[in-house]
Amino acid sequence: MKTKEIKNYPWKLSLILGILMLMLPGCLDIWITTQIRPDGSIEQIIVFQGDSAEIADVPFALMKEGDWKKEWTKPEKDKYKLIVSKEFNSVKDLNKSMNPADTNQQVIRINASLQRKFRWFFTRYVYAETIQRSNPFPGLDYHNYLTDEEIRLIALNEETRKTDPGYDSVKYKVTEKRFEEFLFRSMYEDFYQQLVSVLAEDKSFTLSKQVLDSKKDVIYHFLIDSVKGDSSDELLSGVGRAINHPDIQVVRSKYLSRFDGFKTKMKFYESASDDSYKFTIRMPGLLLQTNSPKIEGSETGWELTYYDFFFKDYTITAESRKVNTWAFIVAGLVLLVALVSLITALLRKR
Amino acid sequence: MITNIKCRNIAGFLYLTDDEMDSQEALLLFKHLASCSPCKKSREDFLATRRVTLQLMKDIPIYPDFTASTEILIKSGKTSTKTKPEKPFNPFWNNTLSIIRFASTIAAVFLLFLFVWEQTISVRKISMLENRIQSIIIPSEPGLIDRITLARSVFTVKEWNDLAVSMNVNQTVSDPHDILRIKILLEKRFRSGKTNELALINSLRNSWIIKRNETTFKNLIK
Repeated sequence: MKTKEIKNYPWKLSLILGILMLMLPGCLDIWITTQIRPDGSIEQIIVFQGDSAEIADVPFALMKEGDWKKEWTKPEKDKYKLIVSKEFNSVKDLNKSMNPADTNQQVIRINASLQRKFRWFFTRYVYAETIQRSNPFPGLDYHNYLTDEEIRLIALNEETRKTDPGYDSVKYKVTEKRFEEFLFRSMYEDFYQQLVSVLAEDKSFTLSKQVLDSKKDVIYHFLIDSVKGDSSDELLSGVGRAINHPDIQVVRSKYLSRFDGFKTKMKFYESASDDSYKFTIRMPGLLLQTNSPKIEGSETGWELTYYDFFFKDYTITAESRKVNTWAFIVAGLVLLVALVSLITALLRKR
Repeated sequence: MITNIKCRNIAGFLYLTDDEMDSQEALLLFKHLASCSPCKKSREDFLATRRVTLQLMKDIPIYPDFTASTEILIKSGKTSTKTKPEKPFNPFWNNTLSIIRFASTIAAVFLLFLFVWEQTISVRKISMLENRIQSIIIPSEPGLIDRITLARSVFTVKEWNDLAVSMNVNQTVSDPHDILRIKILLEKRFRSGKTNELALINSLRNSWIIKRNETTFKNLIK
């Protein structure tokens, strides 16, 4: 859906469409299965299927950790499969892997919580995974561009969207345009703020923030309409041409590495946005509650797109209960003692 | 020394013989009788009656062992041979058992309440989940029972469609799964109270069933 509309913009074309077109055959199917055990330990199995180069570059922190068990399977129809798994003693350990403390890492972050509530006859388990907002360019507020209903439609896959009661093809084209505007403005904002911070650090620069701010919109449109490259250097070159100032050339030669963060964010967006994410939670005992649309026994499933958790956090939850057999035995004995003592007392009175 | 003896103080002695009182009691009685004619009259009546009774009992034979056996019973302290003595019970065990009875009864009631409470919460949650999920789940393949039902159903495809239209169910039949969908949608309408059995029957009657055998119709709505 995004590809059709962005053809008017050379920068977009090179930045997004070009890369996406290259990536399309390699987009990944990702299955994340979490098994909750009665003792509170957790086993997580993640399956990545797709192009092998893409798999090696998945936007999850676990790929940098050595203690995950990894197993490659033989490719089927040119699609490789990597199965990674790990057992965690507690949800805290799981979070260390799926939501690393280093906030500079551009990864999809999942923050899990598990509550075990002892209720004598049963133990209740409430498990939740929050997939944290994964927009790498959070500088702009999406509410200024899109409504919540439009966000819901954007997150749907194309087939589901067309059958959705809230879908109107004409209105949706307008939504798409606004979404693209938001996306590219957000990317530009990130790049622009980095440029401003570099210019502020070196006192030898004569280009002031006020001058740059006055030309902010001009630069944006110039980059959108005239710049074909997507690297930081090409974008800086475009800025130089737009405002015709020698300081930009100095930034290109001396401070290009300062734009590595922007490059990493772009890479993350390109990598994460085309993958499909299938979450499964297996709960112990009988399932009581979940916000999943798919239930099979005590197993619940969610099929998400990147845009489900692009704008805001997405939480998946499941609650189950497990019978404490020993508690029933104890209760039975107590009941028996009570009955026997009552009957004995009655007989003695007679 | 008692000088003013009242009638109620010596009432118990009026009906005793001299040998049944000690000297002090006899002295009190005689002093009172000297000054109280009603009590004196009662005493004289009692003694006269006693004399007559003894005179009458003279001719009644008494078994020789009667006095002896009665004396033995009295000496042994037994008033009745049928009465059993109560077994002595250790007060420590009595108290312990009372505590156990009390504690176990309280615990049993509490556990019963806890179980019912937990079950209620679980059932409520599962019901909510079922209500939410019902609209999503449509079986991928009809089950055995459904297939048998469909195979033996007297409903034709046209009739299912008529039924769906008349019940405002937005579904038409193009394959057997659609019939299941109609069933699910109808079931939902019944559960939500948007329609009832009577409405369904009337709908069937008005749309097409009137053309059919009345017995078949009755079997259907059963």
